[in-house]
Amino acid sequence: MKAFLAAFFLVLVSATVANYCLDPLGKRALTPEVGELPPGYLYPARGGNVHLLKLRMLRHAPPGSDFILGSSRVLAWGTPQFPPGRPVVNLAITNAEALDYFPLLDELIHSGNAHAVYVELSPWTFSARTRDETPENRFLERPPERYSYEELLSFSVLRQALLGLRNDDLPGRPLAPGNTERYGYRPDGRFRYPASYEARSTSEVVETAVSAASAPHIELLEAGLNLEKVRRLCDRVRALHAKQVAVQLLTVPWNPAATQRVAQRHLSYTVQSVHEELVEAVQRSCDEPVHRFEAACPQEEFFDDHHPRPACFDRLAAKLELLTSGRGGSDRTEGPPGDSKSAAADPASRLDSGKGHP
Amino acid sequence: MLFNSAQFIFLFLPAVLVCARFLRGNPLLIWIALTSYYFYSFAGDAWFLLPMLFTTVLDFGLALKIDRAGAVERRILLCLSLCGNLGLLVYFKYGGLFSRTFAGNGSALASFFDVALPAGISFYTFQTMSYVIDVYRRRCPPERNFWSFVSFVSFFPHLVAGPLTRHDQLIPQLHRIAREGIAPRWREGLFLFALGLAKKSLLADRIATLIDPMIASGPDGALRGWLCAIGYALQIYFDFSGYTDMAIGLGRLFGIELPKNFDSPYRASDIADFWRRWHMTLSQWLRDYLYIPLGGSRCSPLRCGINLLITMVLGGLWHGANWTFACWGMFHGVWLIAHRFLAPRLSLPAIVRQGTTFLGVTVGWILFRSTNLSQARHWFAQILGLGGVGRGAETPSEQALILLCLVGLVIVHQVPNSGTIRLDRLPVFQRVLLGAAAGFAVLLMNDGAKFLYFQF
Repeated sequence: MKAFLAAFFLVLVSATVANYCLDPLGKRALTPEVGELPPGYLYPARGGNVHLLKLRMLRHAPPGSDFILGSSRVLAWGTPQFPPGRPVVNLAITNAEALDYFPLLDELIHSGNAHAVYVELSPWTFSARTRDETPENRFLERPPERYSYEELLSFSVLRQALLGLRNDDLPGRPLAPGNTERYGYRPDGRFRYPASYEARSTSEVVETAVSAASAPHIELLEAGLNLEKVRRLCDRVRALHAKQVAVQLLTVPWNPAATQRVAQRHLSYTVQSVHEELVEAVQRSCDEPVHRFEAACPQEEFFDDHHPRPACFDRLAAKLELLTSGRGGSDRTEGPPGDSKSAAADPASRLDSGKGHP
Repeated sequence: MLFNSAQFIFLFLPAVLVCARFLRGNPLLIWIALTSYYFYSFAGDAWFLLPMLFTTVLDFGLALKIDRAGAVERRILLCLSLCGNLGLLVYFKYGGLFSRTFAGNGSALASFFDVALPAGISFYTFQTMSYVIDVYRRRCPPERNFWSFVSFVSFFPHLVAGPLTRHDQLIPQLHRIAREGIAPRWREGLFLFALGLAKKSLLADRIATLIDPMIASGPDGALRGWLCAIGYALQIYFDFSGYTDMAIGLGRLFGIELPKNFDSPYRASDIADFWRRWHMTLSQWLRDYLYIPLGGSRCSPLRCGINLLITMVLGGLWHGANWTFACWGMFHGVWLIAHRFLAPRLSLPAIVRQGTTFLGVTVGWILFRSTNLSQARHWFAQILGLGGVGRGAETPSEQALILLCLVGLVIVHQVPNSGTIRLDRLPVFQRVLLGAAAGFAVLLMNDGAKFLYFQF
């Protein structure tokens, strides 16, 4: 019985120790510290607080940087789409709501050393169904959590620990260059999606786009806008202008297949209608032009229904350069040859109507 | 709360055993009954306790009355008990099937019977029915201690999925432990429990994760069809016999010996032998309380065949309210009849008989596993090659399944039955190996599923 029990408990104790020490669920993982930027590097890590990471990246950005605020939809937008030598920091946060923008914008106002700020406007970011207040600890280090005994005695947790050890992908550590199954920023500041995501064919993307366009999260769109949040955004935009920081408000492209799918569902709204509502509200409240790009890219330039690939951002960057007379969006008063307010109002003169795309 | 959960192994069981060690007499029986009810309340909804309580009180009271009553009254009281027990079974288990079949899916009758099936209802109902029938037949006196009867019905090691324990197997042992206190047989109990856990977590659940998606999408081609069939034959054996080992092991921790339920059934030399080895307690129950009262084999060959068929179809339906179970029972009934009349005329080598029995039983499991008859028809067509040979070992999961099936086949055909393995007689290497396997089984518990026989 002794040999039997010894082997039995040896397995259990070894698994418990490995699970506890390697912390595969990231219960004790800290958000990675951020060095000077650029050069950027593969910051994202499992188990950290991405909000805090972005705040740290903002604080360590060199003076005169360009900043991109938004959700996961603008993650693939960065250094390659900006003039050479221009430091760019992508502050996008997956599933970001307007409330996630405000602390970052406040920090930018406080520091006052940004060159330009690009802000994604998505209807669900300003949806009336999102939270009204930012949780206090949203941008703080998360306190460590305890492992339950079921987690410590779990083979699947042990498997995660061992795989994490092998792939150099344990929580709380900056992403390893060799780890291609997680998104991150390369040393040159370019964004890298997971390899499996990159490898998707257009047909797979369209299939995903069509099914995702039926997903429940799209219901955020039908809730209407929270105008108070729009007003709070506008207050910060004005404060940035007062600090001589250029601000570009823009909508982000949707996969045309998903746009079409939403239209076919006979809902009370379409992708165009919710964007029009948002753009009107922002323009009214901020007295600021909005660059409309929701129909700017063809379907092969998407990862899924609403996440554009870098090629799509190349297209957007070219148009933004056109709008700002090659000044990288640094001056709002000199404006584009065609005022984007009028561009929004006149469908024929929109930046991109999607016509001509395959 | 399941046997293969950390709460059960590390909290519930130690707490129950520690307190039980200090108790004697009725307090011990009350403790066993209360903890068993607590355990059962986690097997599904808390209201599951009500039908069990109803059966317990009804049969305890009726058995006492039957013992004192005259001939006619005894018969009436027996009918009352049978109606009560079978009524519960019909309402919870079969009403839905018959109302859906004969009155349609959306009918008021179907919605009346649309209720959750309390776990283990078939087990405890059959246990109390056999008790009342035996009291009626004057084969045993009625139990006069309410708490020992409650403990007999609800004793948590056998409550949810057997072994189907008779009153004469358990009540005397409950009296003994009430008198003398529990006498745990730690070594045997823990070893058997660990062995059962290893069967469940390391084999049954691993096979299930591989074959379930293939079966759900419909196996395509003969190779996959056979792979799924053999995989399921092994899964159900390791799942159910693993549960039984754990139940018997738990019983031994209380100093109680629960009846044996499996005797290496896939080594059976013919179908009759298979039913003497597979789910032995149910086979014995059906023999004693259904087959023999119908006339058994002491009648004309035709009547004997009919008796066999009725017994096996009802035995099939005992597993669930689905026509696939009835067909599975009929399949075995027909096979048993054929065996009874043809076996004396056939003389085949032992290995051929064993192989054909295993293959036949495996084919039968297709009916048992299919959720409806059209799925079974498709599966049968595949194993017969009507969908082509197909591919069998292309993906890593198929290769893993083949490997697991080979390991499983070696175990079921070569390794001694778990009830006969004595830990102290094994070489040190094998003890270490079994201990490590039990350790990994604990680690894999959370990735597993419920026991298959919980649904019956």
